[in-house]
Amino acid sequence: MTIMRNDQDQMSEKEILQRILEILVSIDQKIDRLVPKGISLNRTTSLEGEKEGPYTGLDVMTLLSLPEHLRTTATILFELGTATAEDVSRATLKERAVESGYLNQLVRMGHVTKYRTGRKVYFCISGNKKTD
Amino acid sequence: MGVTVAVHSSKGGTGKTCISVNLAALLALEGYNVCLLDMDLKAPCLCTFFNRYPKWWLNEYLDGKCDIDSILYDITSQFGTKGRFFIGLSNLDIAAVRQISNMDRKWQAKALKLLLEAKRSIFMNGVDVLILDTGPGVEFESVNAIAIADLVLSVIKPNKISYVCTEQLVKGVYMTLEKKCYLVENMCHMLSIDMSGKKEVFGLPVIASIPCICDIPMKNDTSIIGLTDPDHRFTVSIKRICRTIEEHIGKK
Repeated sequence: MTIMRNDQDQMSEKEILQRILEILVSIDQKIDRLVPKGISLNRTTSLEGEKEGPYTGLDVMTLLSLPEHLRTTATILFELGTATAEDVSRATLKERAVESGYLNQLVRMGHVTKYRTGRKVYFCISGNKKTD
Repeated sequence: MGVTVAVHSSKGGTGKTCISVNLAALLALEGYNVCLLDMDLKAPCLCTFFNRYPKWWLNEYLDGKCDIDSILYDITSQFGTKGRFFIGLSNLDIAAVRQISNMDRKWQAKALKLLLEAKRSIFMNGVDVLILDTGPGVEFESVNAIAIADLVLSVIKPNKISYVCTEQLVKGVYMTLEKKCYLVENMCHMLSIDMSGKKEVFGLPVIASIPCICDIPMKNDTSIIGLTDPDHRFTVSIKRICRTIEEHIGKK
């Protein structure tokens, strides 16, 4: 902890944010590797924690209540249908790692489904994937 | 890819349907291929206006019971427009309206996805402008329509209630969904925004101020004024809105 505090003292805010981003990317890549091939990773708990049916999906009122960064990502995913984090990042002009973080957040909220085909990880609005 | 226009308002009775029908007809008359969908599923009226009671309604499409082509009707020959004119109607039967009122968030989420698919299919078939005549306020069906639209025409009446309610919509729905929006002031008299010289309200451009003329609702009950009265002040105002939509068709 002391070392971290010393490091933080010497690091600029930009460097700290960069370091956080690198750690997030690393965590994200590890999570991606944990997603079994062809099997979707999707929790069936809504924002309110209520038990839903086989999927929660994403309705427009929920979309309106999302924080701006997640709403933008979800809106793009709606338009693209199925997409990788890179596809979404191209549309939003944000870093792939940042979009990957947002998409994974939406997966944890139950609005987005994540699955792997080959080496690529795909995202889609829950209920869009035929196997859902 | 064409342009999708949602005609919306904060409150009912602002003239959304009248504006939607005339916009669609005038754009079709000018040679654009237009599709007009009745997205006011809780108070549908386009079937009555066009006097068509088809086998398949938009309700069935949103319920996943048929494809989008099954609910679209080509009415080009009825109005003799240069461009093709399609309509998709919602069922006015009270049982169908009640059914829509009972639909949950999950159904509405599916409906949104189906609307996006419908939009893609409609444009793939050569439509230039898709006009969505919505219901007022923040009903699910209306916000779904706004979500898939490229442009929102928010129809506002020149009174305090309409202004205050519209301001809420602008902040809480249109801007939140990052939509390009225009205000259309309808039933204007001396208090109109246009007369006051303002070009913007709530940061949105006012693209037309349609005067309050008694013969508009009467004439539009049985015909499309834009087609029957090309020089009417109402028609002139609608043509101004057409020009704005045209700019967006060009950009797409």
